[in-house]
Amino acid sequence: MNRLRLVAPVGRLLLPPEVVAGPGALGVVSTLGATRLAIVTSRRVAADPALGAKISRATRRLVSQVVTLEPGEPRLEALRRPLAEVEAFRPDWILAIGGGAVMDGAKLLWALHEHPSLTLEDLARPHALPALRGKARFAAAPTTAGSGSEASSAATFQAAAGARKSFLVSHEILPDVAILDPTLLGDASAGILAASALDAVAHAIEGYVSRSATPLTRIVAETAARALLTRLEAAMDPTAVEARTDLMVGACLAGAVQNMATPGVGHAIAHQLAAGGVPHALATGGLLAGAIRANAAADAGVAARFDMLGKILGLADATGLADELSRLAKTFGIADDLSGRLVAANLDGGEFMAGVMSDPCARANPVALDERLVRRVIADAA
Amino acid sequence: MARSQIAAAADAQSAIERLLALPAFGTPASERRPLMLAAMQEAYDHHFSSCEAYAAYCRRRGFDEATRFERLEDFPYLPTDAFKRHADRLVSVAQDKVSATLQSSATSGQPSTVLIDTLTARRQVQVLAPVIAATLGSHRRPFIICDVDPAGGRPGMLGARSAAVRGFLNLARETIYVLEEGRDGRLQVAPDKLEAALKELRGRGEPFAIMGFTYVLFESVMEPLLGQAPTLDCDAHLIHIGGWKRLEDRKVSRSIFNAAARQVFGCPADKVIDFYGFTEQMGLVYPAVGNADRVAPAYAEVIVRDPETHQPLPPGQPGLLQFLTPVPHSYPGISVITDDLGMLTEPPEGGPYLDGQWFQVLGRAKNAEVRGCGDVMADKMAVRGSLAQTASNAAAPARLLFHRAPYLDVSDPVLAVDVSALPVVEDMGALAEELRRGREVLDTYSFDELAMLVGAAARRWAAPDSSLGVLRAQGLSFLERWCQPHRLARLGDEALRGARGHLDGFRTAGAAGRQIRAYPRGLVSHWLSGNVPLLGMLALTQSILTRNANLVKSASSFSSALPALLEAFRGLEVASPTGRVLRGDDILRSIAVVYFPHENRAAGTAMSAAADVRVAWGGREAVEAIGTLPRRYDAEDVMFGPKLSYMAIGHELLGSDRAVRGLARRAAIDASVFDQYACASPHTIFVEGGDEAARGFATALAEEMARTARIIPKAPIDPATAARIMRVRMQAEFEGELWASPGMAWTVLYDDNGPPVLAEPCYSRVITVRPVDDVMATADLASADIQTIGLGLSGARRQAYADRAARRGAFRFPDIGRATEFDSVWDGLYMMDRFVKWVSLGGPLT
Repeated sequence: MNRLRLVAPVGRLLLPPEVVAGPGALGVVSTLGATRLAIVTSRRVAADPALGAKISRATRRLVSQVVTLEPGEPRLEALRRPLAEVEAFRPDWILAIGGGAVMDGAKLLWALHEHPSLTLEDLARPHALPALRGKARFAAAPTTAGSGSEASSAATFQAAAGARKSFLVSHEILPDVAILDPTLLGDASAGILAASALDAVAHAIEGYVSRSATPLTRIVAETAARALLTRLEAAMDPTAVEARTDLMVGACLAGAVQNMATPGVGHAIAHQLAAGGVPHALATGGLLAGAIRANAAADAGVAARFDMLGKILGLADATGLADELSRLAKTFGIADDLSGRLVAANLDGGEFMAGVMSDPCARANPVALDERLVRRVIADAA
Repeated sequence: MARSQIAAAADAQSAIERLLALPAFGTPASERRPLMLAAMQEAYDHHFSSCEAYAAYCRRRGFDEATRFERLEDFPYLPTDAFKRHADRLVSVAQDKVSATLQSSATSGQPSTVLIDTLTARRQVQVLAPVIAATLGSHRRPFIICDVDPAGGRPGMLGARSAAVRGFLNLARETIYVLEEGRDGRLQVAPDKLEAALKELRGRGEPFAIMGFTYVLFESVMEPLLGQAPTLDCDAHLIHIGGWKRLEDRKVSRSIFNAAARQVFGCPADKVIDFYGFTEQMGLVYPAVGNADRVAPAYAEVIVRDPETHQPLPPGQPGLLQFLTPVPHSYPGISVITDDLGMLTEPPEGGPYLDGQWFQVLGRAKNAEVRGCGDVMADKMAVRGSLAQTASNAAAPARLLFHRAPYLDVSDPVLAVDVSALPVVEDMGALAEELRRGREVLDTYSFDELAMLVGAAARRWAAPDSSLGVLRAQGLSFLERWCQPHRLARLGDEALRGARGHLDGFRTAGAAGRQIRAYPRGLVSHWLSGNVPLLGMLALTQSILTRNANLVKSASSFSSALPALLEAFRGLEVASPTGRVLRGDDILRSIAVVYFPHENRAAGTAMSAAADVRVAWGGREAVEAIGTLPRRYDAEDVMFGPKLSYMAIGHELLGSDRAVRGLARRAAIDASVFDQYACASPHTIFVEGGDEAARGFATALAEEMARTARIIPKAPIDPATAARIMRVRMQAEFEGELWASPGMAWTVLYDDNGPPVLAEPCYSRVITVRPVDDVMATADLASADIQTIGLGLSGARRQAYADRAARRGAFRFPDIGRATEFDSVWDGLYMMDRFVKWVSLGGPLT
């Protein structure tokens, strides 16, 4: 897909060419024009009777095949079986249904289906992916409101279990269609739903002050943060489809912000904690308030920016914003969960700190990172 | 003539007159050569002072009016081509002194023209008569002329054939012409007339001669009478002149000719006399009696020069023939170097022509005319890597070079191959069927799995220890890059309606649920050309990716290159990310490479008839011949005929020295890769902005050609190519300006003569720069024969140029530096699209 090549530091926003949002949005699948649809999902979703029925209804007129992924972060070695199934089926559309890990795994499947000769190095080289869509197009229907992977040009993966996290970054993997159907959120627990939503808030807020932020991304970040923060609690009610739609839209827009404005220290720490088994959304949501406080304390200009965002969101200032995030984290048990995990984790090793400092998100943090700032963010959440 | 007689005559006569007064043969070289040197000096002085163009040419080569020559080999020499292009400037007498214009018969292409005055004409007779007399005997005799009676011809413009014959007729007491012109303009023998003449002359009991042009005699007289009439037994001399160019093309040798002469006329070989001569030195003839070598009369000196260095060669070493004679007075043709290869030889013992110079004419050193990249290459590359097929006729069977495994040695892809040891393809149709069955396994592979295999094979080609390394200058590096899987994927997407996935399944196309899918056509027959040895792999790869079987007829040159490439697939195993093992041998099951001479029409017919797609690369004749082969009515044809290419550079890209240098660097790449033998290789560069801009560009280009030659070394060249390069260099010295490597590596010609036209391609890194006032006008030089025009233009002019040239027939307008990179579209089509058939499901499209 031809993309613009920016020749000046101007704002940019990439979204899937089509985004549909609302209850029943999954029905658009029948109009994709797919002749053979591979439905890539998790075993949990595939086994969920309610979700299964929805998917069957949406795809009943299509030639389709469900391909399930192994649980957890996508691992190249674990993609062999599902990739073989995709190869054998030869789809012209891939529909990913699931959370962030499923989305990322499906994107990797897509890339390897199109270009089986890609190596790990090829995949991990930023913006080096050859053109996709010569064989299949891609639709993303998230079952959470958080990762924003449906609007993202990135996918995280590991070469094998225990290996370092790698990033596939290419605008080629931005889905062709994002389907935000609140009925797909199902009966996810409040804790999981909230943690995912706070991850999305972190995309919006860390993106808002990111070194790569632009006026364009900031305005979208404001909208995303407002939608997420104002509708989070109402969305806990499974029947509140409107609030849940807003939450999904907010998460999608926050994903678009993250695509252009890399988040900061909270994400840098979360990526290292993932190696110790701390769920990504739990970490980013739980660390966000501390990240705001530490950055604001370190730089008056950054504090002013947080103050402005707080005002826009009706939360007075940076402190108000951080406090509200602390409250939400506490309300949904995120703070306690993370605190316990942080205590258990070994964060004193030089490897952890080196990992934080070398993380791509560290470079995007509005304040230059040092160990003291990182420790302060962690201490805030511990 | 005794030494004292020569000395006495010297006082009264010029050196030229004294030389021409010698007997044709028999003067010792020690006496003749000093006289020849003096005569040539006299002739040189005359032409230098009388012909401006000649003087300019000599000055560029370091000679002037004061030059005194001490050796015959030091005299400057003109290429015979000079008389094709600049006859009007090559005049050494006042126009009103010109009494006739002589033109060569021009076997093909442009004839040579010389302007003669009465003195030259007289000298021509003066030197011809003694040679003929020495050969036939001095008394006049009746001549049967195997030609049409020239009476009624246009005065003033003598055809060389007619003029040459007339020269001989000074020895004829009586002439009888026995040919007439048919309604179609062809010459044909009047058998009754011929028989009557023979009967009459035989009856008189006196010697007579039969004479004609070599090819006319053979084609219009002897061939029609062979086997049709009893031997016209006669005891006469058979004299023929005019050269062998035309008969060489038909593989008619002197022994075949002599055998025919014996059969038709009853002439023994020792009475068949073949006179060699050429228009540029009309009057000088070099007889060869029977099957013996030729001998030069006293009035000429023969020098054989190394085709590459132009250094004189000793007897026994073949090179280009140079002839010196002071005979021409009205034009400076006193020393010319021909396109003929020859060799000085030792005189036979006891012969009648002792002290003459003996030599052989070995044949042409070049194609008569450039007919296109494919045609030219077939000749040029014949020396290296060619098939040693001696029985190149219809009976030579098709041989199998590769099927699943090579049948020839692929350790050196440019090695000459003896096909006689290779398996014979008994049944081309059966082989095609086997390939079709072998193809079925490809249906289990996706496009990209096949691309993975191709990519892996390409990495083998490029490996440091690969035997294919010698082909790097022939495009191997480009081919290896081109075969990277993601590039092939992009190629497939572009060619197959935007998605190569069409090959893997039905895809929605339009509304109403209509779906389309691409299927392999079946079997693709490829006819390769020899100009770019790896070119065939580009088509073959695309055919593999579209899951077709492939029957490939190799070119006679570089015949082991494709088998060597395919060898990389043998035993190749690649693991896909799904864990499947992809096998190169699966691809090889559906590919066979064969060779047969083009005369074997039965093999060509079988290959054509078996094809669902016919792909042919090559020169016009080759491609047209393939086009006439029987084929299935629905077979798809992909014909890549001969094309030429050039470049156009606008003033807007020449704004600074740096810009000029950058453009020159890229242009040098285009003119160097494939040693300029690709259809997309430029031969002419038009530079806008007048003489200064163009000359500046040419200067920069010369530096960059030298640099590129170091980075991309040129493949070894054969003597014919060297001779061709030397000829164009001399031509440029004569009429323009040039920059050239010390050896034959590269040549930049600067030509500001006449209107901006395309330079005649020389190939082998010879590029001509031409200044133009308005580069846009050069778009009008485009035609269906022009493939690529490298553009150094920007903005609206770039688009306007492409539009203007495309309407006239050109196909590609890459930026300079990218001209020779194989692209899709090529010659107006997406090749992969031609290799598939499209199938619809549902619909129709609304």
